[in-house]
Amino acid sequence: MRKILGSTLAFIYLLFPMSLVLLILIFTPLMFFSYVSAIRTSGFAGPDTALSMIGLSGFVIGLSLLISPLRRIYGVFPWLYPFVKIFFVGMIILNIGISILNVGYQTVSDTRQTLFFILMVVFVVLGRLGMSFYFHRNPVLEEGEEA
Amino acid sequence: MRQNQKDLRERIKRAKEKSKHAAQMNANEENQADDELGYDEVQQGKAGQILEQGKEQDGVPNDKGRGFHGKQLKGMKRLGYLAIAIGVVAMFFTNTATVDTSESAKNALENQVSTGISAGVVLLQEDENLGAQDYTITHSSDADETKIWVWDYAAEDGDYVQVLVDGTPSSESFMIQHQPKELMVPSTGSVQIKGIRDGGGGITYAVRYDMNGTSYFNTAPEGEFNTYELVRE
Repeated sequence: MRKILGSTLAFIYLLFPMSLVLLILIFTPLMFFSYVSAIRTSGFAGPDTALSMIGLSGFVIGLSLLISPLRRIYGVFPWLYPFVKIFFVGMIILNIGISILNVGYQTVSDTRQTLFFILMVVFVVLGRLGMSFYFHRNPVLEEGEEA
Repeated sequence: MRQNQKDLRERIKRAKEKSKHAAQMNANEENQADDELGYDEVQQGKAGQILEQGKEQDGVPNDKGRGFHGKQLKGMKRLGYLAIAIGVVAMFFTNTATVDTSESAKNALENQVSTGISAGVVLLQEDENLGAQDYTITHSSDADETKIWVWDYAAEDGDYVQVLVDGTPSSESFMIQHQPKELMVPSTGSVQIKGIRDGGGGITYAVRYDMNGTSYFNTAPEGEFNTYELVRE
């Protein structure tokens, strides 16, 4: 009975909040360049949803990893844990980058906008390099482990 | 001599077997404890690995998704706590301005002018065109300059305005947010607020003048001005 309840809960959790978060994780890197290009072309900041995206994803992923019945999702889909780990960090970096650009474009000034664009590029590059270095030192999958 | 060596080897062999047995017993006890605590059914294996699941053991298929233990489980929990902490911090900094529904807020919305409303108050959830108005503000302040605060009293949807003094820009165009932007303007003359970009639903802004402590709730059409004529008594 407990098993069935746990599995049902995990299934429901996977269907609603988790699949939404997975879509956010997948689409953030895909949409990043078009988002930056839209801001650069228009010269105005876009709606800043970075913090709410990070907040929502953080909560949903955190709960799925801390509540043991929900953790079953990662057993059923063994690729999910490495995916979530890498894409969650990546999503945070890209969203902070977009936030930096948005802050720069809140005032219509060429100097300020160029400065914040450079700042955003530097942040994203350094963030991604730091992330690569971290995962090089601490691989998501240990040697011999299978996703 | 040979007999002694043989005895010694036998004793080492027995000690090894004994320690192996003890290790197995400990592992079994740990597995039982884990089962009692939650759903993390643990199988014997190398630390830090997900044990292969779905394989049959004694003819009974294992339950999928319950095989995390040791280093792997620790890592997952650590990431879980970190993700929650990041979520809390992000939510804390998310802009969640609440709409003021008090009587003075309702009056302010109706009259488009208020002395009882402080800078940064949000009156509407969504943008609503209140109509563009020009004002003549008569005051008795002796100061040459006065502070003004400009903010978005409705949805923070990316409206941009620019402040002009006697037709000359006194600031860059900026996005109006719930957080008021503070500017200095002369206390006499003509202050104009120009609508630069409509983020949707009209450029809704409020401006509060420090010299008379009054807030004006207005709408500036894109590319047009609202004029505030400042006159000293």
